Amino acid sequence: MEGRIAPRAAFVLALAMWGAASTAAADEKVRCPVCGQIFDEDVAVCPNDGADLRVEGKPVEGAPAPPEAEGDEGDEGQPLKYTRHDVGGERQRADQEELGYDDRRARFGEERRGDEASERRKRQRAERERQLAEADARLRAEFESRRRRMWEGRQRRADEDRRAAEGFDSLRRTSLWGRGAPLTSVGVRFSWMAEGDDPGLVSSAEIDVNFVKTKMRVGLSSSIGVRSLDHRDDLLFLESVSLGAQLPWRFSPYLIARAGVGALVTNRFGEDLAYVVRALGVEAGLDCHLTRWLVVTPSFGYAMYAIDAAHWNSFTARLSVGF
Amino acid sequence: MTVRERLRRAVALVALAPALCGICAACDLVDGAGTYALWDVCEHPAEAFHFHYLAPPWEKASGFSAEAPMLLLDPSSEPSSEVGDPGARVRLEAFASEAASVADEVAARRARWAEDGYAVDATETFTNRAGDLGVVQRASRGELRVIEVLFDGACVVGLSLWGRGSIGGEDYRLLLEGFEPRGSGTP
Repeated sequence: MEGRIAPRAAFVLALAMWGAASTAAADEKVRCPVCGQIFDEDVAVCPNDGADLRVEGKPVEGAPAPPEAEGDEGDEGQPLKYTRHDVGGERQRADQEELGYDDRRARFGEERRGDEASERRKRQRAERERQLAEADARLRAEFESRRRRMWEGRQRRADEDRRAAEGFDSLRRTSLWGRGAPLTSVGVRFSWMAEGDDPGLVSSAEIDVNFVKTKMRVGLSSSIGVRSLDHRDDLLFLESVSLGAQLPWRFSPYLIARAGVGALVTNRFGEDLAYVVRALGVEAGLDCHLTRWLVVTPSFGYAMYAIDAAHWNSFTARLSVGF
Repeated sequence: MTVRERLRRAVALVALAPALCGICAACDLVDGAGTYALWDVCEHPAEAFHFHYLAPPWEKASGFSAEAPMLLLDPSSEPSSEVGDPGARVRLEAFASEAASVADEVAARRARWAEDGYAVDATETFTNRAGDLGVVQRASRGELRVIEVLFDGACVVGLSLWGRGSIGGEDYRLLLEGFEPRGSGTP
């Protein structure tokens, strides 16, 4: 009896084990390596991205049941939602038209993208490189033309300066002042010494002797002028020295300080009087070396004349011709 | 340049600065455009009057006093036989009178000039530069001329010019217009 029961029990046990194995095999799951969704084992191709689950699917043991997609699968345009451990949010279906070819192809492994994708990528890279090369060449050409224009401008200015310097050097070589003689000029100066409501215009004739040393300028000046008032005219004599700086160009701007002493001769109550006049001032002018024998110099400045404790502040204007 | 040299120059400059200031005198200068910028001022000690005069050419006479100032113009000439002739071309006198009014002083002075043989012109009103109203009278005898201005302030004050030849002109006008009575003076 026991001998017959044992084979039967062994058969039942084997049958039970087979049934259990069959049930376990039926519950095996695979995970799509691209989209991460878990499918049953009998799903051969991932509906999301076309991955071959039989080859690339990762077996999942004891995996939870795949989440149910929200919405009806049959509804077109309704995005399916997945719960992936590494990617959140919504994923789009691979067969959607707006997804690019490369985007879809990029989901596959390198070995599955095929030569076509590689060639296409090479063509695209070549196209990008060509476009970059064109842009680079365009920029280089633009930069080169700009650099050339700047260089030509510099050359033009240098030529002008050189020609001016040559002209100025020629003047310097042939003129008296260029040979070391002081620049001597004769001019007129206007200034004002008011008295009451009378502006007291002082018109002076002036002789200037300027010792010019490159950027330094020392001058001696003698002037005689008439101070015109309503009821009388005064004579103004002034000797002054000046010291300043200049730029030794053909048109030489200069700035000098001037100090002088002189006399104001006037007639008051029928008597001739002479007052000692002190003068201080600053002056800015421009020596225009027109020819080797002609230097025209306009200048403007400020002067303070003082007699005893009285002083006059005056604007001065001067025009001289020198050689 | 070493630090010592720089310090030496700085000290020299500081020492030189007052001398330069003395030459320049720019710190205490007055505006030359003023009419009397070059003129001196004579003040009565009791503030009866003051006036401006230009010296030179005016010179103080030997008997000059602040109460009764006398100035002379061209005092080199010999005194003539004229009464009160100081031997100058023009004589300036400023005075404060004890007369009760300008009219009394004018009358007294007209009588005096007439007694000396001067032809006295009619009295006219006169306004000085400060706007004070006074009188001016003129007298002449031959080449001699007299011009006097009188004001009534705290007391009667006047300025008298006596001279040979013309004593008119812009400078004399400024001289007369610069004479001002002061309110608190006493003769």
